[in-house]
Amino acid sequence: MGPEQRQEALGAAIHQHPLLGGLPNDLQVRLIERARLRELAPGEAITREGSAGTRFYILLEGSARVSRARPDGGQERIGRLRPGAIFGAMSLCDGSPRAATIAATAPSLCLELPGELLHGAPRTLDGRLALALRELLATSFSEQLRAANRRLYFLSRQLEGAEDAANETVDPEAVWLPPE
Amino acid sequence: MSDKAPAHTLFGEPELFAAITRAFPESARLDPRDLGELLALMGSVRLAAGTPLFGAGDPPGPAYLILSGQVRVERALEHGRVVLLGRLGDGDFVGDLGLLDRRRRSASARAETELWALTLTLEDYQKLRAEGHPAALWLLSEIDHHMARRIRAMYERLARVRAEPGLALEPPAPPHQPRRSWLARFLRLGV
Repeated sequence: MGPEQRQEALGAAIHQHPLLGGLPNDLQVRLIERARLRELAPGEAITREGSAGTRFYILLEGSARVSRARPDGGQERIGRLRPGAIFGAMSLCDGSPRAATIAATAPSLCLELPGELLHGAPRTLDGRLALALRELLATSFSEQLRAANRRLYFLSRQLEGAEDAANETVDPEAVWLPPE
Repeated sequence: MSDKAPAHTLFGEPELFAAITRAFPESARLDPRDLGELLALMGSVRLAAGTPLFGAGDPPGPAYLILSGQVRVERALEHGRVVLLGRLGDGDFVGDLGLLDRRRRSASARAETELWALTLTLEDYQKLRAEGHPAALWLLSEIDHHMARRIRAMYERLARVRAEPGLALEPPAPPHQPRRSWLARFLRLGV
């Protein structure tokens, strides 16, 4: 893909994204200036557990697995990401190292966004963009937290022997699923 | 009145200013006038230990910013038992998911000790948000920060539960108390 095609693809990706596409035009233009597209081959990692985070990502196409190191040195899969998922932002928000390794499981395309976009000065274009992006992150985090809470709740119910708990359809690996 | 005047003389709430900057140190980075405008929109509540803030399934309501005290977030199981989803204290948000969507409360929260908190409604948050108010950006930064930490804590807990399912009913150790004293309390309460 040449530079012009990439820029065009970037604009289309932002415009068509269910959440970013709803942003006012001037914010979308600013995003196009600051974002870049990352293509990932199957198996290629985009974030590594324990490393410092300086960027965050939105999965546009493909799929990725979320895994964490087990004490025995292996990797435990804790979730999967589908197109639309925002990831890699937790370490930008709490200053801790990355919580998980995220690697593509199919040829994938990501939007890569620099962490500075979350720190624009209020009442400027960058401040409005920061506000919009932080709201997207908060929504994504709240989905993750609700999913984790639900998972723990159903695990507890299963332990309690609740009859319907065994039939719960909660996806134990769903880290974050974008709105339908 | 000069812009340089201390914020509490502008807004007459010295106790609130001191409390919010103590519990939420990053709020001190806001211009005092902006912080004052935020406080003017917020309510302040003092609740006795045991008072419910909201129940699972309740319609959406305000977010709480804890100035002092401790809150339990839990969901009921059968036979009167509960699963503790989190314990929140000074400088934490409770019910902040309610500022982001209009969904019903996903869990119950109640004051575990005497509680002093600020409240902010979705409507007032949206006013700040619509005008790009610096306090809206500060609130979102705080909410993002706290949620990221809560998700990490929950992942750690789920990982422990996967390794040993019997731990699902065990609450996380509170940050400022020795683990054993909590467990002892937990067992005594038969939670």
